[in-house]
Amino acid sequence: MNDFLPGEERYALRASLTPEERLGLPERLYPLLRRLVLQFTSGESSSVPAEAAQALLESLLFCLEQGLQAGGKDWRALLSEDPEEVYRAGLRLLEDKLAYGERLWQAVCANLPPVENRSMLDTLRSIGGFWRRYDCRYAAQEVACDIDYQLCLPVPEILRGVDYVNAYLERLAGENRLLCRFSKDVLEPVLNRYCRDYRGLLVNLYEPVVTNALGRVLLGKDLDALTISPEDCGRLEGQLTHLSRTGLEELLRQMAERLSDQLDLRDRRERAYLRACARGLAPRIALVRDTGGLPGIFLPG
Amino acid sequence: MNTEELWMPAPDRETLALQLTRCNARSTAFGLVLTETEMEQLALSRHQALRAAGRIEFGEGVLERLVAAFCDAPDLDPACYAETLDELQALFYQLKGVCREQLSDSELITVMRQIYDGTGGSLEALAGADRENLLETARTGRWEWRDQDWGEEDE
Repeated sequence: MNDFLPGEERYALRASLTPEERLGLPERLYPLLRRLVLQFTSGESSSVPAEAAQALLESLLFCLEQGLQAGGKDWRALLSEDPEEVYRAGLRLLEDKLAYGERLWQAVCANLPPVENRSMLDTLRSIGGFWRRYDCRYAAQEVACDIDYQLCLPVPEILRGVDYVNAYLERLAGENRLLCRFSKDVLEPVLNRYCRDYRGLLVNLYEPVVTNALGRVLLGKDLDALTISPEDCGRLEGQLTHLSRTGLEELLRQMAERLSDQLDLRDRRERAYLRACARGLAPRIALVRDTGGLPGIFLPG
Repeated sequence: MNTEELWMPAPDRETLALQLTRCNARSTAFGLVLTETEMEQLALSRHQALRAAGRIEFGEGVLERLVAAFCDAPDLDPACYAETLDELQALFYQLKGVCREQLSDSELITVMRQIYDGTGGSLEALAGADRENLLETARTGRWEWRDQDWGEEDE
């Protein structure tokens, strides 16, 4: 069993079940899997390729995990409760998540940033088909769409299926809300400096904008523009050079809070996202601050 | 523990005995009888055949259906009944993959019988059937002799 279960379920099982309990689980799940396979083949085939069986099993385990989540239970519950009930609860939760995700997708599409990026539009177009393609029963763990646009902070790989897509959309919605705080005229100089073809290439728009915004906050400048002059870079260098790594991280955290306030970001998760993004700058800054490399991070206008 | 052991519980003696009774009830009229030992061997072979074909089965297998489909085949030699069933069972799982899941179990068994009859009981012909052969036979309901189906080995 240890070699068979996909990573996430294997982790969850290891985390909550004793070896004896793990041995009892297959017997409990076998009837569900058997029925799923029969439904999958419309009862016309008693066997399936091993790869198909594994994919169906992963889907089943994903649904069960959803059902366990919905009931606030761990895998041990499957040893005493009816797996069928847990499975049904999982399917219901997935339907709810699907409906939530589609609403979120509509909101993201209706609130695009004032600057364009082709991969973002292509990704949203592809996610538009996800709501029809997603198969709760036979492929619940799969992400049935092409997600090319890179987020500043990627969605954890452990998330799968509709969970992955919804987490992606939540992050993208947050990134775009921040971008929407600025006009096209303010964003374009930074993005052009970041990447000449930012409209056509697979680049994230949020990160360079947030980086320069943090730089300006650090300099005590307003956010009517996002440019940072060579002189500004020199001043930033002076402020950042002597800080320890911890001190640097703390300063960036404070700047992220200040920036959130200035942009009137109220959502707790959006503020946390911005803080995490700012924290991610610390190692990059530490690496280049003593060698005059800050203009590669805070893009001069 | 591997996947087959985990998801395909080996049939217990009681289940095997029931299967044996049902198989023999079908075939006795044609002078074909399986022994208990042969039944156990066929159950073991099923696991090996599934593994070789890269498949997982949920249920009791297709042996009874193969017996029902082939017991009245004129070319089936009673002296080699168990061996023939063994090969047919292995070929069934192999051909499920060859036809890329496009034939149901029932359709494939029907096609196998048509090829078997059409080739004078040749298991080699069955083993050499490609996807096109199988789908064409399923579509037309008869096995077409074609030169390339015989005697040519892959180079």
